[in-house]
Amino acid sequence: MLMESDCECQDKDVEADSNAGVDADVDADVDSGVSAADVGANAGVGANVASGRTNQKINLRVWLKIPDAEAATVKNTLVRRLGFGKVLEDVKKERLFSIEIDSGDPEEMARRFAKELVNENKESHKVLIDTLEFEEGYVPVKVALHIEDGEAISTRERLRNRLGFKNVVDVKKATIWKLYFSLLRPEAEMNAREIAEKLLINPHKDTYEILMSL
Amino acid sequence: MKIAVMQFPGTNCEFETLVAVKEVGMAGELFRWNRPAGELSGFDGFVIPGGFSYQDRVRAGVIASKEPVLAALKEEAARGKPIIGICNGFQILVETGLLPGSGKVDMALAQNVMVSKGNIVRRGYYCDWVYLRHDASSRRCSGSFLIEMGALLKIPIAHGEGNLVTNSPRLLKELNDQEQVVFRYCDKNGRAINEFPVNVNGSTESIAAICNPEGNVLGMMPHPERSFFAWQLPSFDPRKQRPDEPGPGRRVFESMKRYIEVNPC
Repeated sequence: MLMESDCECQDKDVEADSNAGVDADVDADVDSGVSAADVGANAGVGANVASGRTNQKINLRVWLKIPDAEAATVKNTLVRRLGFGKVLEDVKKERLFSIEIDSGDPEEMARRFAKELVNENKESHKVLIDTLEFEEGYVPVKVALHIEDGEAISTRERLRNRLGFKNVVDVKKATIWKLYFSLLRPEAEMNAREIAEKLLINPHKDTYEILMSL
Repeated sequence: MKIAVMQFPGTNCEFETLVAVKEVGMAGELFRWNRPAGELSGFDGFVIPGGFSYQDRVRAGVIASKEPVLAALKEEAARGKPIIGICNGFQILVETGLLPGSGKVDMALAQNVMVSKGNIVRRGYYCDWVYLRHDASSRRCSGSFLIEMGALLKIPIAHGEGNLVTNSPRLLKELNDQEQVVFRYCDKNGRAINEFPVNVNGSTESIAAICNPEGNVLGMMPHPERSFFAWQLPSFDPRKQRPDEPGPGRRVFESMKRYIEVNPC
């Protein structure tokens, strides 16, 4: 879901900086008396009632800066096997971590999370606070599990329990497929839906959403 | 009797599978995914072995399922020829719609989730020796044609995505009612306990293998080719000391052979 920032929320776009000076101290600045366990794994934005503070969502977009073989395979399959050769120009892929926190400076937390979740030797990333926006020129298709996402749970537990980020309330993961078409948006979106249903998802475990570009 | 052992980029069990096919007296041949698909009509049966076709890109089995050879295999299946998909082969058959058999994608083999006493104790890739209980009648399915109902087989598993899930509430009832559930994970006494470690991957109703309504297409997560000979069994199994004896997995390939003899196409 595309999250629109409101006047209460920050709308910060923090470009990746592999040399960012990140405080190695991961003792999170927890000013809330409510633990993540109390809030619950699926708590949404605004669930942190006890402290009166609105939870914030850090969206971490991560992509390979080396060639992405999986995206290339998807493009080849769509062009050679599924008949999209005349309309599809390119396919790129990103991983999306949506990390909800109940305390702490989201920009600083985003830098710390990126240090743990992004391998700067091969990946780049971009941080969006309480919003999720994509550039012009492609149709972003978000694919996520609708059954329990074990990797997302593991990531949450790793951040909270192993790395000490006790202010992490929830983590969700998704794949963003960026489909570049030689078509204008309404028609491109129709093709994107067809591609999602024919290749990108298995409806018995995945769900998809066509996101808006800027 | 010619059997094509399918080979996709990333398949890694084709040679053991080919040995198993030949050992039971069938003529086996590796069939690369990029050969003309029409040549498949010259075969009497097909095995899609395990591995990681296309590196499991997007999700296990889906890229291979779009290859022209799979469209040809659908035609051969419609003629009644047997197809056995093992592990990644099962995943490919599901993504193709050949299993459970409506032609549509009616289920998924999702990431393993091992549950014990209500807690998730581990996730993802897992390999172990498991017991399988044959839950269909003998002669119901090509790959278990000679196996009596209730028989136990000890066969290894090695996969990360074998957890059968479906959105369709009717599907499980249909699979059970029509004896399309061929094998379930069970303990050494044949009890299907829907918890790890008996249910090794969290699969719904401990399902390890299913067939299509006609019975000629079988998909199974465990690897029968890896317990084809007794010497392949684990060291703690006494049968390993009698290496000339057949292993439990042999019965799957013998079944396929018998099925073709009884149901010539």
